[in-house]
Amino acid sequence: MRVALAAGRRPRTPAIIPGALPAFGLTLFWVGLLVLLPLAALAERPWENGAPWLLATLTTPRTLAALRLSFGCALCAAAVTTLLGLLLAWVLERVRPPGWRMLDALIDLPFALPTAVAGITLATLYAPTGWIGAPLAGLGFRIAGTPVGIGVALVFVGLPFVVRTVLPVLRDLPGELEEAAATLGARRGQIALRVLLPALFPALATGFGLAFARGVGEYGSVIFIAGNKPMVSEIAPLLIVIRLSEDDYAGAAGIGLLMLVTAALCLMLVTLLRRRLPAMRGVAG
Amino acid sequence: MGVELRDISCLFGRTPAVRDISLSVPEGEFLALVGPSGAGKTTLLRIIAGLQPGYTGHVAIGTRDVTQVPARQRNIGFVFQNYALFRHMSVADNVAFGLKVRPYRRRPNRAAIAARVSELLELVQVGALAKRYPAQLSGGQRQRVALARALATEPELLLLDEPFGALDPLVRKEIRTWLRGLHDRLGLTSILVTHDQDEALEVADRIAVLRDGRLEQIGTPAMLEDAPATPFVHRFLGETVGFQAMSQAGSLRLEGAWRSVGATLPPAPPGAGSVLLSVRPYAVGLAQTQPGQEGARVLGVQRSGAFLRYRIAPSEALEAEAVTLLVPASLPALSPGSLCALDLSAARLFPSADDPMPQKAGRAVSAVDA
Amino acid sequence: MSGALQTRSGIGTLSGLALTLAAWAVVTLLLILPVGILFAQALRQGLDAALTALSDDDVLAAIRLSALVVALVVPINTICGLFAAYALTKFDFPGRAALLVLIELPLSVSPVVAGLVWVLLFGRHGWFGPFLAAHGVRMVFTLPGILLATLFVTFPFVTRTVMPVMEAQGRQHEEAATMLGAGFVSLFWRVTLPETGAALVSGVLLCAARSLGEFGAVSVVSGHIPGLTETVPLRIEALYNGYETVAAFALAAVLAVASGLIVGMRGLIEWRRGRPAGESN
Repeated sequence: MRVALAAGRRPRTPAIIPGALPAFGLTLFWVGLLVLLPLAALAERPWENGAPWLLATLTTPRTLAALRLSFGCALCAAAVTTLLGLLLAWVLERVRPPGWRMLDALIDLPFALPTAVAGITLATLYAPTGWIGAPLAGLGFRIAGTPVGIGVALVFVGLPFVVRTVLPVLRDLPGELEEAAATLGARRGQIALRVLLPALFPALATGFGLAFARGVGEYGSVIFIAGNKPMVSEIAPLLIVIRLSEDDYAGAAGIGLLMLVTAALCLMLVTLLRRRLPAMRGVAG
Repeated sequence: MGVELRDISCLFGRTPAVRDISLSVPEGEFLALVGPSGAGKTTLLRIIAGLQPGYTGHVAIGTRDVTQVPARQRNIGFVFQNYALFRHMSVADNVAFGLKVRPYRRRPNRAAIAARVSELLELVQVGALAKRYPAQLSGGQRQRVALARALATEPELLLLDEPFGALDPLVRKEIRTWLRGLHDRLGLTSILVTHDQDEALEVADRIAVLRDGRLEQIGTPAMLEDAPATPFVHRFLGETVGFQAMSQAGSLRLEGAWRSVGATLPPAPPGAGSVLLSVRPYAVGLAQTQPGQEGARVLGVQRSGAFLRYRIAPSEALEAEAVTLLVPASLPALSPGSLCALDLSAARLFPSADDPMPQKAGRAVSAVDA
Repeated sequence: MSGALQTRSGIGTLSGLALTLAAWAVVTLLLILPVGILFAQALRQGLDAALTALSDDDVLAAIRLSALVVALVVPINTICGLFAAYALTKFDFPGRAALLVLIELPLSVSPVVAGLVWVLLFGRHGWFGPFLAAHGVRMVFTLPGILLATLFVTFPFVTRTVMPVMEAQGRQHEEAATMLGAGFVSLFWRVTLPETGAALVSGVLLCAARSLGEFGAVSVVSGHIPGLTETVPLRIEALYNGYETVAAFALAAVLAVASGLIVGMRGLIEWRRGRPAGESN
């Protein structure tokens, strides 16, 4: 049964699983149109008046104030969110009070509430006439219209990210770790500080990073409560909208590019951290 | 249909997984590809199936060069190691799949498909399970369904990748006898990949031994046993004991620690040089020494089924060199401490350079740790 | 001793009780009260007033537009997302990591930037703006712009939820189907797709919820023309800024319920898949 086999050049072996052409074709078209092309525009437009001009626009007092506000609020809010998220995760996993399932379900509320809805409810709630805002106003605190209000909105938005990142790690943390420490004579405070915190650190840092990345760019839930006074409570995304309405594409793109780069760097860090957290694969960004 | 492979090579990254293999499988043959894990046997099987990208060389099935033919058009039945049954389909739907996905003109009608499916399920003796889902089947049943599915499109070539690996030993033995019967009844050409040499010896007409991507030897089980091409082949097909020896001027003598035990050796090969004697532990003759005769020392003896398991060393001091030999329990037993005469005339001889992984002389080696 | 730390302490211990109270306080102030005020404000003047506010023409137009956006965006992103997951999991190719990054990128972009990029491309001074204007095509401040912005924002969801499942399935089922003679269409339709099952539904729901509620990106490209280019979230903003509180909150409540139902359904599916809900957004 000797067969005449074509001799000579190295044959091209066919693709194994069918569908490479449609799958890659559609994917590349889709990614190209929806991501690459817009990104190219975002990367190119800021420079059209030259780098010095871009630097000048990005360093006007108003822009600087907006950037400082967005990044500062996102940082503070992420820190607060991390603490509150740790508290909630701890209660859910280690205390398990009656009704913990309800508590667990409530955590995801911000995922379910569209940002505009969250925005107007938070604004109403924390306004000087609102359920929470009024008593605080009586004490002399203003929340709506100040950076604190922005922070409140960002904590609201970021909370589920932290809880959902920390919870699985806390669940998988072997109880023996704490027991071992306890048998070695460690006091509670020491256990928390020396044993638990280091073990939870990557998860906490990841949650912090996710909350921060989300917070920097957050728009819908913030603009209603922020008051949007230039130099005081005007966030960077809003400034982009304003620049666009002034037809200043380059200026808008400049701020946008800066924010995109920061968020991307932050998420890259998170991804690196997450590689060290096997239990957390698949948890969101 | 027969299979012809010519000059097949395949790289995984920079490491060659298959190196320049040519072999042909005549129609109707049951061929087993054996070798330790990483020998390239599964890769070779996947190349034949068309599932392995990036190989060089040529593959022909029957009279057709299929090198450039995509897997789906090769009409090969393939049974995967874990069966790869579609979990969301019933057994009947799994078997019918290959018929249902045919282009409209070649697709049998519903009734014909149903008839074919029940015929196949009867053939593999799981007719009653048609409506079940894979998760509800035992390992052996899944195996049979996978086989029925592979046979549904009437392939003339059947490829099986470690098909018995996931079965428990009892079922395994039964199902491989049955598979061989099916092969004969349907007039298939089959290629089986296994790392279990017993399995290969039992079902296959011929065995191809692979190692590090190379074809060491191909032949019938008897050929491989009688004339192994390399010590590796000998070792892979069963337990072996190896001794280093020196051939010089038509005479052969053991080297190293065993040099002074005065064993009976096979005739010397032509030429001079270092030689490896490889012998099955049950093929070594052991006898009481005559007074004054040189011999090896019996360190211990243990009953093992119908055999006695002897631990033998050149002398008590050289315990590190000890080998284990099997002797039928019906022969007169030797007591520990006594001297014995070794008859190594059944040993196979290999030039030592043939064995790229030289063993210490006198070590029992089983295929598993080879 | 330190028992409270080692295992689940319940609220029996003092620290357990204190932590639980603190947790409920956070949840109440931050999560429960906003939802409470949402419905309280919507029904402030009674159900009738709320329903009347909802039957306004512009509100109905906004609901129709949002429904249209969801109906168009979800299928497109589902099909493309599935194909991308297929390409990323069933084939080895150089640049896989880069493609993954590109697909995930929209998740890290501010919604405003997600809208901005389309203005940069298709706006009056955009790359293609003058060309399109010369041919009488308007992309921004019209439906296509809203669609593009929403597509961009919801772009990774299906791929992200489906990919881990496809990855876990491996390629053997596709190989088996190939050996049985299946071509791409029947293989994808009969083998790959059914096996993604619940994950696909989950991803689709996520995509739907987000495209329904997206505000920032759409706000940038919409043009805010009542009755024409206002989606539900934009209408809510307009009503709120116009001090029509009841109408704003009534519409917000409707949107929240719709979105909550979708997310809740997804939570149920994820829970049955054996994962905590709320992962990935």
